[in-house]
Amino acid sequence: MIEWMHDLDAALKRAREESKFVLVDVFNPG
Amino acid sequence: MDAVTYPQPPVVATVVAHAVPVQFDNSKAENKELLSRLHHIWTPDLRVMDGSGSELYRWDGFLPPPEFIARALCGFAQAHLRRREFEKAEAIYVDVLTRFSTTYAAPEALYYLGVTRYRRDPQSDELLSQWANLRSRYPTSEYRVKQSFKELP
Repeated sequence: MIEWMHDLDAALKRAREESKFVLVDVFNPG
Repeated sequence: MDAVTYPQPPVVATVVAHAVPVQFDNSKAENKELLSRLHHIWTPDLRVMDGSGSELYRWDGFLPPPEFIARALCGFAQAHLRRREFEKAEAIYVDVLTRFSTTYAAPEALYYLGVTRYRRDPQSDELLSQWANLRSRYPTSEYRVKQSFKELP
């Protein structure tokens, strides 16, 4: 499974540190 | 997506190789402000952003694993292309065309492979060469139409 983060600012910071992009997924649980 | 596409190991490998994944539930009040800022309207809603939060690619709607991988790779490739990281973009487009040549994303990969090589070297004939390949390999695709001005007499 993908280990999703749930904090955009934290994901952006990690992306900068790891020289990666951020993949945002907005979903509906229904 | 959580039941069919995201659990597949090749999908996981593709995402973590290129991106930090972050997910938001659109039914939660705590996400309302962010989703308004993203002009969110439909799920699944996928965005590729750089580390500053600039959105470089987007798509929405369910995709099964092979289609998702090819679409995500096209997203990462275009993100590199927009940052003028031509070698990285080219490698990903070639990967899509090698491993996922029958997906709906493949014509986009071939179209932008030509664009990538042209932007890297405007003197090369790669743009017209790859677009000729596009006409041959994907004659009914939208991307064939996007280069069709080159077919005018």
